[in-house]
Amino acid sequence: MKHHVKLFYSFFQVAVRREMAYRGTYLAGIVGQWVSFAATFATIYILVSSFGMVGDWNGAEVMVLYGMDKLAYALGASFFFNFSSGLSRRIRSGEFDGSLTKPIHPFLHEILSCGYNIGYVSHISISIIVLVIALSALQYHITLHGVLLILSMVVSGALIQGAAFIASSTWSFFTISDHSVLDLMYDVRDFIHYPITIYPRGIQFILTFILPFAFMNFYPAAALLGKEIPTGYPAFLPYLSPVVGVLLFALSILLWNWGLKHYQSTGS
Amino acid sequence: MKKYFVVFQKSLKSEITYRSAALAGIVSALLSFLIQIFLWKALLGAGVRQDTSFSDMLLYVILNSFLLSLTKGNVASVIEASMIDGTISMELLRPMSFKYYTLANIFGKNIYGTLIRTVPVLVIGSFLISPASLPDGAHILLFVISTVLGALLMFEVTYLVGLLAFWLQRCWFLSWYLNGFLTFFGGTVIPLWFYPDFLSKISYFLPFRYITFEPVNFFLGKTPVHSAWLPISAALLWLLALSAVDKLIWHAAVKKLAVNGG
Repeated sequence: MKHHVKLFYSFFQVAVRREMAYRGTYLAGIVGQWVSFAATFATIYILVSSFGMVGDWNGAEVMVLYGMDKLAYALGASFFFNFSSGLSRRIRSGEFDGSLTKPIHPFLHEILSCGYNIGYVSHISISIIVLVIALSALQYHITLHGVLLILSMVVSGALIQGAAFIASSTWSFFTISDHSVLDLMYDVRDFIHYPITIYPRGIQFILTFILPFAFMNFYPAAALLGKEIPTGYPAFLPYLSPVVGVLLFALSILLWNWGLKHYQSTGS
Repeated sequence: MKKYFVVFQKSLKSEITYRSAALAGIVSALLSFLIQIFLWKALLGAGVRQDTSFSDMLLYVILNSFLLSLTKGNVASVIEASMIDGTISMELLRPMSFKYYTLANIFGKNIYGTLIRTVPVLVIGSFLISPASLPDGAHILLFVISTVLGALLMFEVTYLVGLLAFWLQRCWFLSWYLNGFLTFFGGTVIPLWFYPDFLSKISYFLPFRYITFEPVNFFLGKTPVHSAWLPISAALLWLLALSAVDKLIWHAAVKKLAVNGG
C-alpha cells in the first residue's frame, strides 16, 4: 500500500510538471473554464428563478443539484478521464502493451501513468463556490453531520463517475474505434442536470437502477434538502449513494479486467 | 467561387464515410432533445409565459441546435495543428484565401452531421409542435436572411478567435471563452427574453445574440416585420467590423510567421 502511495505521488508530480511546462496556457485554461461554467450556472439559475420552480426545486436548490454533480464529476474525472478517453488511442499505438509488462497490475499502471488531470481544478473550485453560495442562500444550517454527509455524497458520486469512465473504456478492448461510448455516457449524464422528478417514470427508473447517475446528485441533494423522491421509491434510497458508489466501482473494475482477458494486441 | 465549392464537397465527402459517428450523432441528438422536451413540459406545461408556449420552445431548441451544429468550428485547433506539423506553409501557398478556404471546409464538414442530427429530432418534434408556432411567409424570408448572416457571423467570430493561435503556444482553451459568452449572451441555451432586463440590454451590444437568437426570433414571429431592420443591420455591422479586424490580424499573423521562418 505504502509503495502504491509513493508511486502515485511520483506520477502526480510528473503530471503537474507536464501541465506547468505551459504555465500561461494552464492558467488561461482555468480562467476560460471558469467563464464557461459560470455562464452555464448563471443561465440555469436565471431560467429556474424566472419560472420560480422546476419540478418543485427552486433556483438555489437546482444550483446545489448542479454544483454537486460538477464536483463529483470533476473528482472522478481527475483520476479517470485521461485513462478512459485515451485507452483506445493507447491500444492502437501499442503504448498500452507497455502497461502489461510492468511489475504492477496493468489497471493500476494505466491509471497512474495516464496522469492525474490537474485541469479539473477549475471545475472543482467553481462548483465548491456555487455550492457554498447556494447553501447559504437556502439558509442551510451547516453542522458537522451535514459536512460529513456532503463529503461522503461527493466521494460516492466520484466513485460512480469513475465507474462510468472505467466501464465505458472497456469497450476499447473489443473494437478499434473512436470513443463513442464515452460520448454516449456524457449524453446520458446530461439528464441529471435537472431534478429527475420532471421525467417520466421509465427514465427515473433507468437513472436510478440501470445507469444510476441520479445517485451522483439527485438523491444526495434530496437527502440534504429534504426534497421529494419519485413516488413509490423507498425512503432510504437517498442515503444509498455510498453503497451504490462502492458497488459500481468494484463492478467496473471486474468488467475492465474481464475485457482485458479478451484483449488481443494490435501488434503495432 | 468554384474552387471553394470543391473544398466544400471534399470535406463533406470525408464526413460521410464515418457511419458509426452518424449513428452516435442520431442517438445523442435524440437524447438531448428528450431532456429539453421534459424540461419545458415541466416549466411551461400547457401554459404560456412571456408569450412562449411549449411548442414554441421546442422549435426554439430544434432551430438553435440546428444553427449551432451547422456553424460550429474550431479554427484555432486547425491552425494550431498545422503550425505544429508545418503544413501551415502549404495552406498559405494555396491559390485561394485562407479565410474562405476555412469557411468552405467548416460548412462542408458540418452540413452532413447537422442533417443527421436534425432530421430525427424534427420527426419527433413534428408530433409535438402546433401549427400556431409556425411562421408566415414574410417571417420565413426574414429567418432565412438572418440565418445566413448569423452563420457567417458565427464563422467570423470563431475565425477571429482562431487567428489568435498564431501567437499562442497552445489554444484548446480559446473555445471555452467563446462558449461561455455564446451561452450567456447568445441565448443558445435559454431564450434571452427570460433574462433580467439589464442583461438582455447588454446582449444587444455584443455580437452573440445575432448568431442564432435573432434568426429564431424571426421564425417564432417574435420580431415584427417593421422592426426587422434592427437585428439584421446589427448583424451586418458586426460582420463588416469583424472582417475588417480579422484582415488586420491576418496580416500581422502572416508577417510574424515569416519572421519565424526566416
